[in-house]
Amino acid sequence: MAETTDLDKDAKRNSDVALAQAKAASAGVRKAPWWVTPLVAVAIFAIIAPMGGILGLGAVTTLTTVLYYTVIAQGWNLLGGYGGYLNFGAAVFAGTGAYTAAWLNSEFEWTLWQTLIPAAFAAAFVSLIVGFATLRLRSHYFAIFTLVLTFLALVVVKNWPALGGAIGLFTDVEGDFSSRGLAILFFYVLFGLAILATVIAYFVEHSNFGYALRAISEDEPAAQVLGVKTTSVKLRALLIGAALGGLAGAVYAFFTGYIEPAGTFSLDLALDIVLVCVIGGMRSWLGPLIGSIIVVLLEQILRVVVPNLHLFGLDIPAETNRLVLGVLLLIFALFIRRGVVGLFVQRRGRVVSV
Amino acid sequence: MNTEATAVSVTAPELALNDITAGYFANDIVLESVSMTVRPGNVTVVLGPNGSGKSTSLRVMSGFLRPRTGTVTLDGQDISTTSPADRLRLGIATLPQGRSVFPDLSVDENLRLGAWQLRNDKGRLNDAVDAMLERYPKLKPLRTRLAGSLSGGQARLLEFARTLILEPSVLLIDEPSVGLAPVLVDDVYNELERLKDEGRTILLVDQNVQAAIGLADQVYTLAYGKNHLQGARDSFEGQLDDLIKQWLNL
Repeated sequence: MAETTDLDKDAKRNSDVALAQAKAASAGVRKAPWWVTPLVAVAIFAIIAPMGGILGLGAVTTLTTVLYYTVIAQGWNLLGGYGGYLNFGAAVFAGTGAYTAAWLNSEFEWTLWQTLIPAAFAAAFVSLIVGFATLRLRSHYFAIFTLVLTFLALVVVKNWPALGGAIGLFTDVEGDFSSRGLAILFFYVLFGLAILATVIAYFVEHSNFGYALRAISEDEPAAQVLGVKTTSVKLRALLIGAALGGLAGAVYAFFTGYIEPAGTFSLDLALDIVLVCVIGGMRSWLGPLIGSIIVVLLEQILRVVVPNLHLFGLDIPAETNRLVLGVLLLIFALFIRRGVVGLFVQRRGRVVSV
Repeated sequence: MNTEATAVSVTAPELALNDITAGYFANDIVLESVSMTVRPGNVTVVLGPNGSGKSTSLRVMSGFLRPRTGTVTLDGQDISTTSPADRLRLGIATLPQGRSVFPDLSVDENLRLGAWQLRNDKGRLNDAVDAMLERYPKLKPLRTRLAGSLSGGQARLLEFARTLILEPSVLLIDEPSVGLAPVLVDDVYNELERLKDEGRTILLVDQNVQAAIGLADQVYTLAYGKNHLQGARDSFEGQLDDLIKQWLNL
């Protein structure tokens, strides 16, 4: 297009439009330097690190839950966030890990450490089956399927005598631990896994694999046209995410000491993980970490505060926290689509839909 | 550019549909015994009214739709079951219909995704990106802009660049001017003209009959999913109006 001054005009006009919009949104083209997000992550982990030794038992347990959510959410975010394949399957993979670990422990007396790898493999294996069956589905069909999948897993496990049926399985940590000692152990195991998951997410985001996932999320047919083997990319993302979920689930099985089907394959967990990523920021490796902290702390606070409010002399049930979180999810999904991280790390330029 | 152009036309293979039957649903046939040949160094244009199977023919060529019967051949070699990604590796690139840039990725990242097959060869990848920025200097200052903030014309340029970045030997172009402002349509045809002058092998599907025929070496027309007319451009020039009238009555 050699002779076209029209394109110039067009470019000019468009940049004016873009500029006006940028000014209007006051977000502008602010972009934090590249080292800000790694620094924030390191700072968060550095602050959390000594907490296991400092805080009281209750607070340590809460932080352990934060780390548990971080591991699963980082895994979920690979396909759910970067890939744009929103799904409610997180509990299936974490549950598979939990049941694998609990079964190996109660049946063969494997220790926590010995069950970690098998749990990751079991979850990855389940994800492979799920992925082969469903990843040709486009996003919302996939989301609905994963919803069904959670119930399916629940029904299967409930009716599987070797897995304890509806009664569930008990786990036992080898060695003589005080209750505080145990809490600290789980805290640091999950602390390590959370760092592992975050590092994996960082490398995925900055790799060709990460680009492919983002391309899939934005325009899957276009990615295919460019030669991206989309099904295989999605499958790999699901697999890595499931393995992380499986690892977290294994620790969880020992952490609670007892697992049963309804609590393990619960939609609450699946929804929480989506919430964590949406609030934290689905397009960033930092998002799930920040989201976990916000969601878990908020849930805890609401659970304690809300029943004591006695608004108008009414008894308000603790489950109200789900209502608050639901509203929060809507607000973020509608207005703060890049999550908390997106508020601080704005990519240059504005997205103008044409 | 001229030496390169001859190189392109000499090495370009011949892509052909042979007696293709295809459709999207079990009881629905969109193409019935369609045959066409994309000759090396030629611009082959496929025309026809809405729903005649133009875009479907292109999808069969690019590998996004598998034919039920018949074969797709590249220089006589059967590639009917080759995946779209592998066809791209064989040099068949597609410029899809409508806007297909990744809006939340920068212009640069969009180009890099176009060269996805070179992802493990950083040197060649960078060279390919630079070559495209050289070819489309207007994209240069936009490198770090998000593709979603580009105008329609700029986005089209980026799509051309992304399709050409692997230096494909056959280009399949689907309705390149649909949805663009009239001024930009001219730009698109100027670009197509340039591709033709470079001696590239092109299959062009378009509703813009006049402009498309202007570019064509070979023309195929489809009607109701079947071959209708075919021949060199000259044999069509007189009967264009008749053709269009005929299609409107179809």
